[in-house]
Amino acid sequence: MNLVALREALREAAAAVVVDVDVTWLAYVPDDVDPPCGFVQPDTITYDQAYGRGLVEVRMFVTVVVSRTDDQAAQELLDAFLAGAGAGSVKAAIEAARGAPGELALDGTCHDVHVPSVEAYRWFEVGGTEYLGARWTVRCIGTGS
Amino acid sequence: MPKLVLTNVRAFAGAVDLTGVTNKVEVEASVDAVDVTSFASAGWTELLGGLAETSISAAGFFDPGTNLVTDEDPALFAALGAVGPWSVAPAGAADLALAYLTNALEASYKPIQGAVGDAAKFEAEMKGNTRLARGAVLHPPGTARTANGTGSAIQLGAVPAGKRLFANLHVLSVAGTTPSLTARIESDDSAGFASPTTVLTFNAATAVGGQHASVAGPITDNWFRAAWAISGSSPSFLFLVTAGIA
Repeated sequence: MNLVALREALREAAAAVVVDVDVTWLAYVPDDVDPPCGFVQPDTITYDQAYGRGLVEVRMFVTVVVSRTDDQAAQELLDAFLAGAGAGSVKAAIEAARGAPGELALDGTCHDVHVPSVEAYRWFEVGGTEYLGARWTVRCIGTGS
Repeated sequence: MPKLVLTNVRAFAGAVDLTGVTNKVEVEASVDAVDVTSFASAGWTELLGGLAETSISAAGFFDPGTNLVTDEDPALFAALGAVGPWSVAPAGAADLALAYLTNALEASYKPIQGAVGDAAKFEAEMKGNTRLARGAVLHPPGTARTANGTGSAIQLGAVPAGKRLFANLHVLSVAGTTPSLTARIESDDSAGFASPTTVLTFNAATAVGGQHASVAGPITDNWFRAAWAISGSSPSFLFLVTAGIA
């Protein structure tokens, strides 16, 4: 799997969420943000899941920060992202890019993708400022590169 | 000799290269311990080696694929109950790499295993239809051939009476118009192969697939190599040849 292409494909998939406000989606961790903003970063890479580098698992984080405060509007926006299904669901948006069995996922950048969990509510520091948000774990499997 | 961490076990079943989907391969040869203890055994158990058997198990990640012959799931599902060649090279399938080979019945296939969220896995169990041979790769799988040729020579040793030279041919890819590959094993008494002798010949292969062949000893020559004749219009073959003595 190409990590650069995977980041971009994941950004594009997550950006398909529909909420009441405009959200900025980035493929890399920014120096500073104008929330709401989502960004992608690798967490762990587990090589050699199959012989001949036939399978690698890459765990990515998709982090969404919604506000510098935890007012109700910010919480409601975050709840929309946290839903397991629906137009605002980050999980649903990413997993919509899976493809059918036997097809590649995330614009052909990996074999399959799964969003098993999210950590919320949490405070994330970006550029020295803390923001309310959530972090999704995204498992991507594919051939080694 | 250094120990080995398994990262690149190459397993081939018929026309299928299972390398990229397997994460566990076991090759086993066992012999029944037949008890022949008698009162004259001085208080100790006496054993004779009885019937021997071979088994191979492979496990890894389910690949639904589309090609019925070269993709994991359709190929292993179709091969259930059938006998076919298996070759396993523990540290890659480069020219003259160590390889174990046999002809085996696919006795069990579990195409789908796993809990929610797991990557789908498969398991296959094979029972040997003949001996397990320890030998080598005589032609590597990644080198395309378009014309007649010979492979590298390896000193496997002479084949004594009572033993056999076993060989597998795995044809992995075929291209061209009316392509045909006839592979064979040659022997000689020196690495230079000044006077090669053909000791076994596979059937002509015009499509992907696998073949197993053997010839009985004694064979006094102790050097062996693969050789092949290719015909057709713009033919191209990817194939693996393994051979060993058992």
